Amino acid sequence: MLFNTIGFFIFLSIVLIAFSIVKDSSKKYVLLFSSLVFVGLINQKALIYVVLISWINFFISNSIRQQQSKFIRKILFYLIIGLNILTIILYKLFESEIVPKSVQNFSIFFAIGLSYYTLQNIGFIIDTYKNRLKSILTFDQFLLSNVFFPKFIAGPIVQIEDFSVQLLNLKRASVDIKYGVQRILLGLIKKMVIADRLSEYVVYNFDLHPSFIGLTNLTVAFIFTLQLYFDFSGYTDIALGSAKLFGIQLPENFNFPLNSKSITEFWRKWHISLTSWLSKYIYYPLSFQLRKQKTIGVICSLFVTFLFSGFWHGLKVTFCIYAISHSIYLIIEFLIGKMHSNPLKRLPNWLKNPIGIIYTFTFISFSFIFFRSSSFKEARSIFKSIFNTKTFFPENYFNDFLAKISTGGEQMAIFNFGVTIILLIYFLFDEKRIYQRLNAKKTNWNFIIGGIIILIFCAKFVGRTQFIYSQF
Amino acid sequence: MFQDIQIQLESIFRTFFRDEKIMLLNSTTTDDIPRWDSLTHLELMNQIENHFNFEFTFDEIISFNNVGDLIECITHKTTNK
Repeated sequence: MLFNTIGFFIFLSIVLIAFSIVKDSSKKYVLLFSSLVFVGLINQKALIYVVLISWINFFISNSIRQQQSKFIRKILFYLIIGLNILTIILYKLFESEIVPKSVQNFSIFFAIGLSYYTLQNIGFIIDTYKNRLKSILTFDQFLLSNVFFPKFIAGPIVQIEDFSVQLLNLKRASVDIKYGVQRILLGLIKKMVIADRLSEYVVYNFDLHPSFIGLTNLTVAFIFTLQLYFDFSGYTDIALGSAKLFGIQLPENFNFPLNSKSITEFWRKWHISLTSWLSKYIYYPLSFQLRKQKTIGVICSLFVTFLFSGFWHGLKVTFCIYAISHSIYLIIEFLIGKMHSNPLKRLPNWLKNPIGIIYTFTFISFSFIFFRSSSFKEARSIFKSIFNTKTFFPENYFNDFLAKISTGGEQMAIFNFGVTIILLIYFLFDEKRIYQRLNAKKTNWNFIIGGIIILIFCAKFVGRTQFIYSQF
Repeated sequence: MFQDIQIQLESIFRTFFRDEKIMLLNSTTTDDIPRWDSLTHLELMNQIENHFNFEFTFDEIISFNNVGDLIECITHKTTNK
């Protein structure tokens, strides 16, 4: 059940009505039951698996908490962490090219949500073992943290204890329909009017008619970066808006990352729930152990953390290179930052800021070529075209570049593309103000009516695509 | 004592980030100081440990939400030495 379907909104409405009718102490069970139904409607294997693995994690974490013997606590800890990590590895293996297609058919895993709730479970087990938790959870709280339907498909990744605490305070008073509806509408516009339209150009030029012209490939790389952002942030808006309808606050995943002036800043603002998890459970523990090694310790910790992140996305060479490229960027920026005389610091802000934004956007787009490519060979040929001065510029600008970027010239397609570009530019320059107005918690009828009109006339309803990050 | 630690901490921050304009308030966070991020955080904590002659635990380092939390921890550790 995709978020951008009528079926989802009918489901959401039914759950909201039931949630509003029942007494406060039962609201949690409405969310739990509806979330289990949601997962079951996607796939029954996924439902059986998530309930089973949640019960195992909950049972073992309770045993760890209650166990007096340090030795047994340690054994239980490593066993359950090993089980969770093995789950992710096996799932990624079954989804990769390493395993033959005939074997993939026997996979007991089903993709949706596994990568996200497994990280949540690992975090919870670590926090239990380290005695960081302040409250004792019930199984229904734990299970709902994993299956809560607004965030089941692609996060955000939550801290299970923080999420569960909210379940104790569900009241009709905390429901925020105004904010929820507007945030969902924002997400739908980002996904169906911007991301899905941009995806047409990416698919056409990346998959269907790959080009040897560098300028075309560079432009498509930039368009893909924009598509990825609006797709994933649109999903996040719908997830957070849906959760807010029930009075639940999920963590933000983005903080206007496309305005970043460095790759370091970018990673503070992109997929925040994942980077927070990686920082807390991999980067900081590793760099703490290596802190006497100073710079070398930071570099090693960074490299390992990003490698993990690459494998979390998938067991493919391209994801590995994507991750390594980012760790290299960050290491270079870290080392430049340590230089006593950093020439970049002397530049005035009016020059430094745009240079920083262009540099950051260009380099992350380069890394996203690997993210998007189906193979290393494909990514390599794209890079070769971009850095080949003989084939960078098209011989015929209109036929070899503009026509390839557009998809055939139909009037409606050009009009919709035009609307997409206008909205894209508006978001790139003014996204912060849109969210400030949203967070002001007023009903903005101009936005609601305008948004619905834009959706009706300009959204891509035919050939809808699933959210990119639901594949991880 | 809190203010004394705040002054010493400010000096450490200014030396570490090579920025004499840094002013620390209890509410100061990583958002307020450009190069203060996860990459520089532990090295900075190491400088603070060396200056005050104690070691932070891992849980203490990840628990700080702002400079106020950091000063409170340092005060507690230096008082109980």
